[in-house]
Amino acid sequence: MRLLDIAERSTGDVLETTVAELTLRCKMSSGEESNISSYYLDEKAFHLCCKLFLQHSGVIRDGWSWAEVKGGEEGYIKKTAIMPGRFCSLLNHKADDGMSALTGAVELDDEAAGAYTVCESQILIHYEYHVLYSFSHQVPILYFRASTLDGQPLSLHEVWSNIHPNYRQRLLQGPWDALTQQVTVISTPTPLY
Amino acid sequence: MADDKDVLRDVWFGRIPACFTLYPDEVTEREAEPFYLLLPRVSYLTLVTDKVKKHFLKVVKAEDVEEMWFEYEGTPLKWHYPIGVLFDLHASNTALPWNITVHFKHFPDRDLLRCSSSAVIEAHFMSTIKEADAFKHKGQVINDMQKKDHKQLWMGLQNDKFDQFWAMNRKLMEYPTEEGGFRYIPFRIYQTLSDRPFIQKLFRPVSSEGHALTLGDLLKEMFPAAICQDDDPKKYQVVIHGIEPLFETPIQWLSEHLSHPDNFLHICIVPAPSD
Repeated sequence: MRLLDIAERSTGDVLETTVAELTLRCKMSSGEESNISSYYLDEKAFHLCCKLFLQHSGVIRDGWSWAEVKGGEEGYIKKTAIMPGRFCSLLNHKADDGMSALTGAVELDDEAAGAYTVCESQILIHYEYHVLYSFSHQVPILYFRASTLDGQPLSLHEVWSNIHPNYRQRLLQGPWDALTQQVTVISTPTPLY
Repeated sequence: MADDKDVLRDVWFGRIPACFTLYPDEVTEREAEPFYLLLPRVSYLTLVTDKVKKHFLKVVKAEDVEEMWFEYEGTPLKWHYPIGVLFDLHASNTALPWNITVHFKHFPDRDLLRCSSSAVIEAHFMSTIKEADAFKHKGQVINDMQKKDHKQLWMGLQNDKFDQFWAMNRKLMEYPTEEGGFRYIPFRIYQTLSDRPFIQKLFRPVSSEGHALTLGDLLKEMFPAAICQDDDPKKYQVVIHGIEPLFETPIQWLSEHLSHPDNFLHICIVPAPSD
């Protein structure tokens, strides 16, 4: 069964279907082709999955909500959270920012490690998560923004320093494969990661 | 065919004369001379301005130096857009050279992404090229390439090596003859006055009846106001690489020949000059 068909019959009984089941069926639907690129989600299915996700989120009260894009039919799910984390004042690592134009990713990490031993402090960090549907990749994409409570965005170094050490090492093998900078499609031009 | 190859070269070697001036409020030890540079249209500001930085760092007090950023007539320039797009969007129909103001303080975090090294530009470039291939071939061509092939694309752009870049990029431009084009055309439509950074949607190069769709067909669907009615005065210019292609041009041809190295067709819609 194509995922599209499920989405088109998105009434009563189908809404009972869990997101996990949908994903499973999506994979089964492409059984004839084993290529990974044939696992995709269309926009209708994304909206249906969001609906189910939000229903569940409402039950466990973990704060996800739906947001509409101004002047269009598109929408996305979002959540904000405030968590304690590590932050180093911008002034302290500015000196090595941008001085060498050809810094490799590995070096970047060393720099970061050096900077944090000097100026790290514990503060509250405001995280904003958006999950949007990407027409180009035909998958949901998670964007997030991390800032201090007064709105100052965290640098990429600081974002990395707040990732659990168990994941950090693996992700930093290819930091730019795991995370890229983007500008949001909604009105605010603040960078998202 | 030979003529069409020349188009690729002309696009690649397109240059914009620019004059960089230090923002007057920057504290200097002596007067800062302006710096002139020919900017490659298809590259990125932060990739080709090492010389600009060196030039101004000679006069700016070291303790006042933060990340360098650029502005044109009050608009911070987004380094992650190709240079040609920035020029067409903000400075079409103005006198050359393009006057760009250089800042070393008060980085506008709300408007610009930070760019601390060329690895950041490479990541942005590769992620855009992958997105373009997702439109064109479901990402199959870019995913089948090896790491060194990806490097070849990036190094070709970084070092301004046309042949090196196109030896690999031509694979991204292939499509099955019987389909008459890519699956979808990777395009972005920019306007100066808009809340949204750009329009990007799915658009096929060939209609369901099998005829080639044109730039005009694309605009009719995405931005109808750009096509003026017979008697109305022209309100907008539709600019790609500094020129206004005919609306009858097949969109597939434009995608193959006028795309930027990131494989997107960047289309700027600017107000028509009133003269």
